[in-house]
Amino acid sequence: MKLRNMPLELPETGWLIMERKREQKLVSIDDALLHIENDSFLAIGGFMIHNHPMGIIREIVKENRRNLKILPTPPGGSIDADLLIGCGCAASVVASYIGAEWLEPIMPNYRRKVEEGELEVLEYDEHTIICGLRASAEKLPCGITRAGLGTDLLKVNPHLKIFNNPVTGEPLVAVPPIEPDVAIIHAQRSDPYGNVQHAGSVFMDLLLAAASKKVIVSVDEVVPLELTRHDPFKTTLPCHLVTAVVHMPYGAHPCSSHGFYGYDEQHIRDYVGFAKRGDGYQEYLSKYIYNVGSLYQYLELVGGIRRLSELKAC
Amino acid sequence: MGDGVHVNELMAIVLSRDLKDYEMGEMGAYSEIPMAACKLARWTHAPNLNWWCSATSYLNSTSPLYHSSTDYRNIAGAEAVLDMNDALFYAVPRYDFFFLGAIQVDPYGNVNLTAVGAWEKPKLRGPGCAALPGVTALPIRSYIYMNRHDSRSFVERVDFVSGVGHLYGGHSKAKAGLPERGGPCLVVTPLAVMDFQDETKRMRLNSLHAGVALETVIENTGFELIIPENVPATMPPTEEEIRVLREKVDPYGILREKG
Repeated sequence: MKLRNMPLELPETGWLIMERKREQKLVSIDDALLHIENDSFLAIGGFMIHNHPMGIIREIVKENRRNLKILPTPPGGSIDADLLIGCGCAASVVASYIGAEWLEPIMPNYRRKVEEGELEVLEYDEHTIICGLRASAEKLPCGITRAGLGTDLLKVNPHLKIFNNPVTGEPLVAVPPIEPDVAIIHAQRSDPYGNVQHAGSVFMDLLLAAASKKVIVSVDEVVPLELTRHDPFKTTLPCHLVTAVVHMPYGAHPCSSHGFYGYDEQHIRDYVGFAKRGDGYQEYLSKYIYNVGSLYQYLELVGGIRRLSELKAC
Repeated sequence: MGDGVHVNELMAIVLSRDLKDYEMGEMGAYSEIPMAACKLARWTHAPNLNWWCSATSYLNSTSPLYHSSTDYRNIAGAEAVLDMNDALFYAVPRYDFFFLGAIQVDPYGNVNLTAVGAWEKPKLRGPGCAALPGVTALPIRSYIYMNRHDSRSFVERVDFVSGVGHLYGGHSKAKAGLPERGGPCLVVTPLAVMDFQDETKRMRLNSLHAGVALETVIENTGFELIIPENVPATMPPTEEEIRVLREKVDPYGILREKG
């Protein structure tokens, strides 16, 4: 994606030598899922209808993890969060926005469960979430911001506290660290050691990875370490931030994988239709999740190589 | 609209005219109208205007308009891309203006995108606060664009203040620790354009779109709008504005799609 006009001068010897006992981070989806336990605080990378780790999320739904607290990273989530909410895996959400832009401004399960009092909402905005993630990444006891002053956000979120700062005496908002147990992220490429590359926008994934205890990344492509070392400018998440990598081609479907393929608009519209129908929602879950054996079977189900290739052109 | 101009196009043109050369601003996700306004301004009177789409954080994209401002295709044609965390540091504090939409707006331009009814058990759960608490705490001006103008969306008091407007007038913003400079300057709807009276900070009718009666606006506003003695008609789009909008900014006709 990025054009580099600086020629890379490689050392004459040694650059291809692999550290012999280095542990690979590439694991199966089953092994990756061991990191995600019931009652976890789970953060989701990407945003809106882009770069969500949908393959991992479908497995979480299938394995029926319960009582999750989920954080769709700012500016917000859509079908990713709505699936976990709709099937009952999520008991609470930390969120600034859950919608799918022009496809569905407010996601149906989210809306219904909140209106029926079945889902706990920890109300935040983008700035306060980012502030909390920064505090976690920096190992500070709080982040500070003006976001929230004068609004009702401070009335409904007891974690956000106004204080008079010691420099000027003006009021500011203190945000405690937001430290997810696990962040699940989708990116386009990684080597087996967890050096991850985004081919499009990084969204908030880097900050999210730095703020979280564990980081699981699904990628469309796995490439050899040599390729990472050939152009390390392209690495967007360095390996020390990554716990595990799962190879999941088209793993963001029906969301886009920025730079690799577009979103499946029809599938998202169908999903919204099912989700609005209450009973119909179980039909969606059975068809696309519970009765599906593997990612590859799912990809056939949503149209196979022909449809997926079309999405490349979107 | 009778003359073949879609109301979304008119709203984009009205917003575009108010943007000034050499300023910098932003819009969020799902922002077809504001993005068209910024693109149009750069093609017409404000070639040095800089705009960020804060969702995805790209600068000055010349791509055709898409529904999703986070769509990857917007990035082809941009001049820079940051991640959101960096944008919050390097771009956001330097903005001169931003755009926002809402479910409810009140006479002081306070907006609600979070919940209608009691927050604990809402009648309508909204998508969330988005970035409103953060950007409305900046000392910069904002443009409110509303896809609906009716008494359910223009209310005396918003059920949840997600974003601060002029709060409750007077020095209420300073008391809350917020900068008094800036705040909402224009409200653009399918019916009319509103601004805010200097002394009271309350919303005032500025112009009526072609074919809209004054009574229609009054009836569809759920609070007492300040009505000046002479209410002009919104300046109709020029041929040039329409041509540039349709040829350069929105060749796919995204703005003309919705009823």
